[in-house]
Amino acid sequence: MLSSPLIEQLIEAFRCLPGVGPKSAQRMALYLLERNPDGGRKLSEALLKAIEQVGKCSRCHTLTELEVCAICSSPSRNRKVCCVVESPADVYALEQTGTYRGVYFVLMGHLSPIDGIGPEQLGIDAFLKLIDECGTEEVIIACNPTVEGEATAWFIAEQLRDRPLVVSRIAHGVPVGGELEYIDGGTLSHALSGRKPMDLS
Amino acid sequence: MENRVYLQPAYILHKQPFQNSSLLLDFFCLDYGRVRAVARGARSGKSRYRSLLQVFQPLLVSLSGKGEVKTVTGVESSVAAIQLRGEKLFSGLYLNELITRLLLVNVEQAGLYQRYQEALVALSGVDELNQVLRRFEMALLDELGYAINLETDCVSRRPIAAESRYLFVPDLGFEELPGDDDRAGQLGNVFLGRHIQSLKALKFCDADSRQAAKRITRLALAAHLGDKPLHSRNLFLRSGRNQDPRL
Repeated sequence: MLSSPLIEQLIEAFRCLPGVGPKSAQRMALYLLERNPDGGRKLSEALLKAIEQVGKCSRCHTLTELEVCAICSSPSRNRKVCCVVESPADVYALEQTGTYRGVYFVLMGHLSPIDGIGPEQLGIDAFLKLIDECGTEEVIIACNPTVEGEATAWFIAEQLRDRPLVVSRIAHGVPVGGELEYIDGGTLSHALSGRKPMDLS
Repeated sequence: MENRVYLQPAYILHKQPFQNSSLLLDFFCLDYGRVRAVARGARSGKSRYRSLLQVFQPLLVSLSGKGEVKTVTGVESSVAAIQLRGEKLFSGLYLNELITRLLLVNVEQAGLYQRYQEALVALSGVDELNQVLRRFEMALLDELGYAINLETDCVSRRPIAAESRYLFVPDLGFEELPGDDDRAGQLGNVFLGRHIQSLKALKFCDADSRQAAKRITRLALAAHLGDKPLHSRNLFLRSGRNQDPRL
């Protein structure tokens, strides 16, 4: 049993992280105290600053400390194309591809009636307002290929029905470098039904 | 329920992330009713059954554990997933919400499982949405022990007459209103005899009878759902094109 309440408090605090149990929490706490006090100080300062200052972008709802996030305020971005994603992590993933130059809208979840998450919680009204303000021409719905993601995608598409814009859904199917033999039936049948003609030009 | 269950037919009603890479699942099993279980590592990229653990996918699950929350030890798919789209998908989510709200965990409900499966298959086909939903709602009320008496007046015991008006009291039934009763026009729970009969036969010939059937089952279910609203209904109300919400 440790005699120091401060150390115990630190160990307990580390346990709020996902995937950190009592043993890892203890290792992290002792590492910072024993070997890397500077790193610990930096961590605590960065953590406090981020927690206090980071909020939601007023346009796309992603996490940012600014009123309008860097992507939304960047002049090089095409505001006529908007990609709808479930979480800020999806924005990072799409940004890493380097192929998308439009803007985003982050739902912060998907429709899940049992959890009480409906259109209001996802900010659908704010999204529709944004679309109308920007004069968006294409909405790309990049919700996850789960049943809940599909329901969310359909709901959004339905809300956009009467607007003069293209609504598309990202393709789902065989991953690059994958082998058909090892792919599950559900994915494969999606890949088959979503096939497209080969472009030989 | 035994400590070990092998290849039990089941559907997932609800899933939520649990710990780092696991899922907490709410199964609807053929022999054991609603069962909660943890699928370890099911969210990680390496998981074998990540694509199988979806709602509306008929599964064969193997579970183990003594407590209320079991551990998933194996998952196989029995047949291809039931593909629902749009409104039918919302209806499927509505069925799942009804079951999770009204059924207790670990209580056997084999009859209802069959009805649930039939309803999902019917939703994926061309059946009329109202009919499928009303049939399932009635089966659910029946299973809970609160089936609605659609045949007789609950006070006089006379058969429901097509042209009379009846006051519906959830858990009791229909009571005939005298022709000159001035409550008739004002209350939301007064129904025409023929609308009650059309719910009994599950044949809806016009919008009025569909609407009435919807209101009857809604009132009957509301008595058991308590104050919290059903969120899947909002999805229908917001669907712009749909002027006649099915739920």
